[in-house]
Amino acid sequence: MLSQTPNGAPILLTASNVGKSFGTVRVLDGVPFELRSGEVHVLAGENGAGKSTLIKILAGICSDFDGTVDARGNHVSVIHQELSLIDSMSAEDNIFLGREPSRGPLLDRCTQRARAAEICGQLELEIDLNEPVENFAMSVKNRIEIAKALSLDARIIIMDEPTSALTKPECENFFELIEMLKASGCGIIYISHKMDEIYRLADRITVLRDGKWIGTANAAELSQGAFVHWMIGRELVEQFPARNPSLGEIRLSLKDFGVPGLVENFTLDARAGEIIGIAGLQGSGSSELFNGLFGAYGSNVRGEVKIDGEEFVVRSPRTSIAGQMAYVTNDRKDTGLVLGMNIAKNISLASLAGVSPYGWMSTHTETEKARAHGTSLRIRASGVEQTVGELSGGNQQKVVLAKWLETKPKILLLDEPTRGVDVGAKHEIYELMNRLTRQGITILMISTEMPELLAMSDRIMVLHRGQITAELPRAQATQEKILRAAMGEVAA
Amino acid sequence: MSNANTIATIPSASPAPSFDAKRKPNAPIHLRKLAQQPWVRALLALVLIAAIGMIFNPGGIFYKWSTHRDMLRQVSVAGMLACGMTLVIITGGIDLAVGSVVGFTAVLFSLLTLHLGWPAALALPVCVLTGAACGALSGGLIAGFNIQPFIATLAMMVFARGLAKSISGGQKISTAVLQADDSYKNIELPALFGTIDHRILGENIAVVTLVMLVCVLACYVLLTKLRWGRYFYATGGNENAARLSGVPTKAIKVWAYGLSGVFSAIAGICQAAQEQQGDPEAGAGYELTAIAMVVIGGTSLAGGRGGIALTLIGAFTIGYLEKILSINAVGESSRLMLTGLIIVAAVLLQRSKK
Repeated sequence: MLSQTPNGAPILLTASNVGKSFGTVRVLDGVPFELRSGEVHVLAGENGAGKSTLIKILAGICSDFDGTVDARGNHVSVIHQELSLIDSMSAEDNIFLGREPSRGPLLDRCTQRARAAEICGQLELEIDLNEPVENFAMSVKNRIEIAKALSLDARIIIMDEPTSALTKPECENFFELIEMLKASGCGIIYISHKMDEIYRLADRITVLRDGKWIGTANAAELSQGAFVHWMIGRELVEQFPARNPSLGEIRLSLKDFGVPGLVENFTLDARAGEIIGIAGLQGSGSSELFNGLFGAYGSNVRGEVKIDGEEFVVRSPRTSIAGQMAYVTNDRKDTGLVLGMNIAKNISLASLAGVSPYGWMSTHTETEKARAHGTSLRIRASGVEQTVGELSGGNQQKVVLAKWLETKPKILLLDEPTRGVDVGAKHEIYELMNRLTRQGITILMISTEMPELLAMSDRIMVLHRGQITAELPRAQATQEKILRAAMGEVAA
Repeated sequence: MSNANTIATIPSASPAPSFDAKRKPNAPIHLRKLAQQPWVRALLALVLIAAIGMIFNPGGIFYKWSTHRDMLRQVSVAGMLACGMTLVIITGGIDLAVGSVVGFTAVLFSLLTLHLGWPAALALPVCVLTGAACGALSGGLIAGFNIQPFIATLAMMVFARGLAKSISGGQKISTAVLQADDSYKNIELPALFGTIDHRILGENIAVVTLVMLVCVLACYVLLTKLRWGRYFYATGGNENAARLSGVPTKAIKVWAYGLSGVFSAIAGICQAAQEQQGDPEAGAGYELTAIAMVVIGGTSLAGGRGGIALTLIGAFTIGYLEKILSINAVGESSRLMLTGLIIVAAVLLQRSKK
């Protein structure tokens, strides 16, 4: 077996024919991967392409897979987008967590301090090692995480969107650090959705799509066009119902709407019956836009909001519901449902006044309304008394939708409406969206699933770091344009 | 289980409204399903305790009505606290201040009626409102400043006890009123004291027990019949989802602690009436009894689940436990240790049925 590449760099890790199934779903199939010393190897692909599963396998977190992975005795460290530091503990305690230098039963703080200082010196990290990490900026935390990896003598470092929380200058410093790690002989597996970053750092690029290996190429030899095509190249199958919008009057008008520090200058006129798609990668601020609009941040928002031509003051979710807005969040378990409650109680939650005249609950009305929604949305359950925590993802999502439809909204905010929803239920949700817009409801939909976004939106707004970078009418929108704008390229 | 599923599946081709069809009349009642009902599990613990009472039953005393009547009277004050505690725990919090508020309001009530000679019609609402204010203040700290309920109510617990000692000068407020010339004058006990500490229906049931049952009934209506009650469950079940669904979660928290304060004040008044004096140390440790009642009933400390009927069963369980230990003349040290063990056993018993 070759242990050296043609240009002399030793191979740190080889994987061949890696496969993995969850139940009957094949999430990875026959994937090869190789990492050389001193290289940044970018792993790219759409959401759900199998990147994170592959990382888990390479890092040894998941040991149940097909194929072979040989890290040649090198230690693998993973740096996640959400850092795994313990905020309340000091920097040096974090670096040596679980492997504290000790003398007998006692901690050897001197040795720990000396070794931490040495590693931080290498990383040009000048901080008080005694300070709890919560006091540090994101960029410093990032470096502490890398110091932790180095203290383990990790030769292979996997970075999963490490810059998603960094500012531009912080990114620059971080890239220099990566160059330093490369020079010291580490190999880096790098995951990113940002085009400029990928081309700046990558020596090689491997693309996955639908769990399959599409190709590996030297970054210098892979054009951006070819790269995007590799990532999204599948032909669209007819999984979407035809969309024939008939637009009415302007329903929702936003002028320079913003949430301080998260979204700025969002301007939009959405008509009755229109579906506005909102695209953006991690950290684009799209969900924050919805939160702000719906009053989840209270009145801490800027700009003007008009509904049906009338000024609307964002104050709280309660007032937004009164203004006939509804918001299906992107995490139904955390912000959508009360999992311990039954279906009927979840459905009535946002419209309790309608089932409790003078504050007195009418269980009968509540049950009847829930049954009606259950039937029209085809919620599969043993009955409206079933606890929603026991339902499948698709049926849970339908309960969330039913809850909001019961509030009789004019404006429906959908954040990843089909996330974790099976194909059949997805199709039903798309049909529901068509049905609702025919009734004149305006839908704003955030989606990271390109095909869904392209098929369902009448217009697509692209956000990058809280700013609109493109507004594409249905006819002009392509995956490539959206992806480029989402990665920060401002449309000409 | 399989029976339920057949009702469930809708053949996707047919638009027939088969969703949640009524249960077939001949469907068997599943014992296992029944045993999963929280109230069945709570009753099981109560029945077990009662069975122990029948076994350790010197002189057949457990079969006498007076034993049960006394048990009911003895759990009443803590039972009122458990009502408020249930509301608070359902919203996902805890109220450690209830015992101190009992002491504070007991002293306040005695001062107003005995020393100042206020009429009952004035003293009662003032005490209840004072209790409500104490609770609402805890709730305000929790909802407004995001202070953990444990901390905020711990602070209120200490503070209210201090208030009780402050307004009473550290003395029990009784009918012996200190005069300007350092002599004591015995005043007459107002009628209200006797009315509360009294048995009705042919001496069969104590007034305090009735008061507790009214508190339970009020909580029952609130939690199961009012829109408002749904808000309590939603706030404790998933605060984020509730808030985004328009539930005024902050206001609900203030109300929950405020109501807990109201029930504490009612308990404080009853305590004063029973003792015929306002003891600034009254109610010390009652918060733990109240929490034990709620938890033994099966209301989850995690919030969002449970109910007042469960708490009532839990209160009876605790009441019988103490009664049985006392009629068997178990010494205090053993009584405390046994109580601890039985609380754990009762909670584990409920868990294993899950």
